[in-house]
Amino acid sequence: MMKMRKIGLLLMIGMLCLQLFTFNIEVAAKNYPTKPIQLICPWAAGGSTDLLCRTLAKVAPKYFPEPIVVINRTGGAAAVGLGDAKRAKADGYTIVIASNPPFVSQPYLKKNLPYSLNDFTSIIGLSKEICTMAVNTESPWENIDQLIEDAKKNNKTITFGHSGVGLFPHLAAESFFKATGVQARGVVFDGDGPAITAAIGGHIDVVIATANGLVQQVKAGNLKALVTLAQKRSMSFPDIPCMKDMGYDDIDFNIWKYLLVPKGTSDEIVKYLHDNFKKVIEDPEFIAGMNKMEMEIGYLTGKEIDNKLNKEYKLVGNMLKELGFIK
Amino acid sequence: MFEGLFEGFQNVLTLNNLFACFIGCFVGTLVGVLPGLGPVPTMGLLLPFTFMLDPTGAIIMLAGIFYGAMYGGSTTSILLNLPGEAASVVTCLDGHEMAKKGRAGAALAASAIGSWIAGTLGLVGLMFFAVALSKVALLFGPIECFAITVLGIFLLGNLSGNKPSRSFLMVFIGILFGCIGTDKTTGMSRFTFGSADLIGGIDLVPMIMGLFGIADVLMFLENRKENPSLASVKFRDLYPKKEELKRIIKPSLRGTVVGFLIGLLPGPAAVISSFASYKLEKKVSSNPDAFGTGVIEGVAGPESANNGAAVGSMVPLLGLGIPFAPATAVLLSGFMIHGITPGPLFIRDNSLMFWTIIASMYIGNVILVLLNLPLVGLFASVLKIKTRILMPIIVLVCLIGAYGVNNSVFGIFVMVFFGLVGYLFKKVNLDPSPLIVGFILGPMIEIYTRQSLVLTNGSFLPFITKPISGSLFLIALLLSVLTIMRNIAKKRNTPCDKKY
Amino acid sequence: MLGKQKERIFFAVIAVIALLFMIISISYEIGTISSPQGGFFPLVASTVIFILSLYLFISTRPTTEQTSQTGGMTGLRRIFLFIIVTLIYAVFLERLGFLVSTFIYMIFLLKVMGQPGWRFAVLFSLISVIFCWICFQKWLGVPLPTGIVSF
Repeated sequence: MMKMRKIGLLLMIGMLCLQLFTFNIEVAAKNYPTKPIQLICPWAAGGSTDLLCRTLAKVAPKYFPEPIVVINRTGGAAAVGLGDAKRAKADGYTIVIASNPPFVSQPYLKKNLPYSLNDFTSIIGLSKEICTMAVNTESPWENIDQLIEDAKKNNKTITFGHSGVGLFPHLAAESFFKATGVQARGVVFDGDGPAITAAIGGHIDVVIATANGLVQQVKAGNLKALVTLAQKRSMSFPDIPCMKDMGYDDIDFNIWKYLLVPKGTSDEIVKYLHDNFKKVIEDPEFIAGMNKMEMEIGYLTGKEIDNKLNKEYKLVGNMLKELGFIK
Repeated sequence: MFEGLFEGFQNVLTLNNLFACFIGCFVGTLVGVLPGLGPVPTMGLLLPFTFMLDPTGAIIMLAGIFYGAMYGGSTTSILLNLPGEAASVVTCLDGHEMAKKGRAGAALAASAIGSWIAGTLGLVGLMFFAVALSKVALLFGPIECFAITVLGIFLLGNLSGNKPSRSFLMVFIGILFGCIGTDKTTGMSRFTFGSADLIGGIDLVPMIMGLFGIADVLMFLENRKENPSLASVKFRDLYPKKEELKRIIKPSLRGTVVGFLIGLLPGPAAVISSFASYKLEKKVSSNPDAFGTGVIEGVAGPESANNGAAVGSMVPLLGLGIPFAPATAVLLSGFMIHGITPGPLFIRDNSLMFWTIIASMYIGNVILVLLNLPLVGLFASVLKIKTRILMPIIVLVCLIGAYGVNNSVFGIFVMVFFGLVGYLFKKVNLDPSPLIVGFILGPMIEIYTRQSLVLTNGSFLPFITKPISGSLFLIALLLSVLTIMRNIAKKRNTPCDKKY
Repeated sequence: MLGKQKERIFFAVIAVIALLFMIISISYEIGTISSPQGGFFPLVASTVIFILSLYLFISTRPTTEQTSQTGGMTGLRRIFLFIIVTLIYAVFLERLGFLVSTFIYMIFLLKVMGQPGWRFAVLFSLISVIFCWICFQKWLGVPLPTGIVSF
């Protein structure tokens, strides 16, 4: 009898606990968020990713009860910011913005990276930046075919400027020149800006940078865009041929920006974030802000991001090995 | 042209634009005074807020933060030997010595007046030559940049009268510190010792705050000797005397020219310009040995130079739409999010906006000098505070600055480390300012060298045969030969140097 | 303590550190002069530092000349204490939040700098911490860590 009673009591307590527990979870999901959400931006204030974050944070109050606070933690090609985000509590109050190179290129280049793809859960894709090739306005090449023809006929080596080894403008350029059979040598600059400036000064033959970085200089008449190194034409240069137009079906380098949370964040919170951020990027105010910055909105689900990253990780590894940047 | 300017002035003198200008100047002064908060992150943070303004107002405000910060930047260097940015490192050399002698007010006033002269005269240059001069910058490719950076290290590495061997030791220690973190050319990490934060490299601001500010705090802690009290100095004596005012003018004019010209070029214009102006003042002075003991020329020159450089760097931005400095890059973002493209077409098609911005800068400079001069007395009286209370305040301000640079406690660790290093340097009579030169210019030399060598396909010949780089190298060579010859001559006169 | 002797020790330490950096640099890819790789510049810089500090070590002759007074052992102990407490402060800053940890740290600073009495120290710390919070967090938008207390 006593035993039965004891078991009954235990069961009851157990059930009570379970109920309390589930009740708590429900409450947590319902009551999320109850304080400001930190959005870590691993790049410097005033740059394109930072502007994207701040546009996001500006529109977010329409759909979130709590503000989104952007915090810049820069350095080491996003390694510092992503490392910090990984160490943060998985309670949904720390999210981080990232692009693909930190996950698909940096693991090959840097030893002891403080993060990996497995440390995060992807939420939503926000935007894509498209790699574009441009030349000085005074350059004799009016379009990409002339460049290829000239380089091949006269056995010229093209010098191209880009923002860093393993970053997408670099990889896009290398695979384009390889596919077309043009001899080329890459010159590394500290970011898109200096590379673009060097092209305007005529110190390098071509520059490969994001379309949104180039568009102002093209508008100002300092540069002309030649080709878009992706499968689709870009919003900024609708008249410039893309890789599909030229018949190269496997060159497609787009820099996606997407949001992540540390692994272990509950599915409810991930879903909540995804659904609400989706509303944000569909908001006319957000779209207008992105248009002003010449950035293209690119929606992806978390799963699509993961698939993309895993695919690109293998591709980039092979490329870097082939090019001799890693052993 | 004057019609345009007149219209510009009319346009600035509306309530909205005037307000934007004032806010920009005020915020600029504030972040300039506080070490650790530079104009670049502040402008970045305020970018989204400018959506509330019309494009003209937005640019007026952002530009105000940029040149406004140049005014306040020297305040803590002079008062507390605590440079908040690299360009103010030079101001410590004489500015802080002046403060120790009770002439802090004069130093602060010299800095404000020098900044005003440079800001206003620089604008005249910007107005007349924006389009013509903007092309100059384009002549500087990787090879030319390499040449000018090497020349910079040669000239500026030995600034404060250390023995050359000691100065160059410091320069190279700076270069080595600059190598820590990600190698920009290959993307590999170097000397990170397993630390995730070091992958991002060492931030300049916590480093200078440590080497100067915290090192001073440690010196004080060692024997807790109160600085001689300046409590007896009368308020009126804080302001510069007539004779001192006279001595400000010429160095400021020279500083303006040096700063403006260097500002046109790529690279860290503000830093190089203030170091170069100090060097120049020392060269033209009839009493070069007095430099470093608190001469007003050593404050007025560099302070106007870095303002001149700020205006100079606006030339390629407005004339071509190309940002060479981080601050102008953020300004360009400001233009972009309002759908405007600066450049020759901008000046032609949007002339009202161009002239409004120019006019706002004239007015902004007046606002700034009116804002800063009354503050001189207030700031200078900071020195009346007892050292044992002032030191904790310095530490607190440094801590917030070091944290705020990257919103991370890692900055505090870096600052404490360099505080200790700076303290040891003081103990063995090494001046840390050449280290800053090496730290800033070293990584640039590395990336320029590697870019140049890819462009020349591994040949060094173009370095000498290209006209600009060739002549820069020739200057470097001549200067070093001259220095060596002078040193030999000196050694003959004083056969045994007992001081070291 | 002998002044010059101190300098010699300093240069010797620098030389040893430079040697360490030289060894690490060699482990990176060095390349050639016409195509330098990641290890090239650190190797050059550390080699120059090694040579210069060695030269300074040899050329600085030990003399019996006395340098400026030092605060002795208590002074050094204060410096040591300052550094340790500052590092502890940095570690706890994000956990406790800016307000609490800085308040305690400021009191320590005032005491270690030689401020007599407690009332002034506590009051002054309180005021300066709150002032900084308002100035940096509220006006300038520097996101200081909030930790356990926030408002």
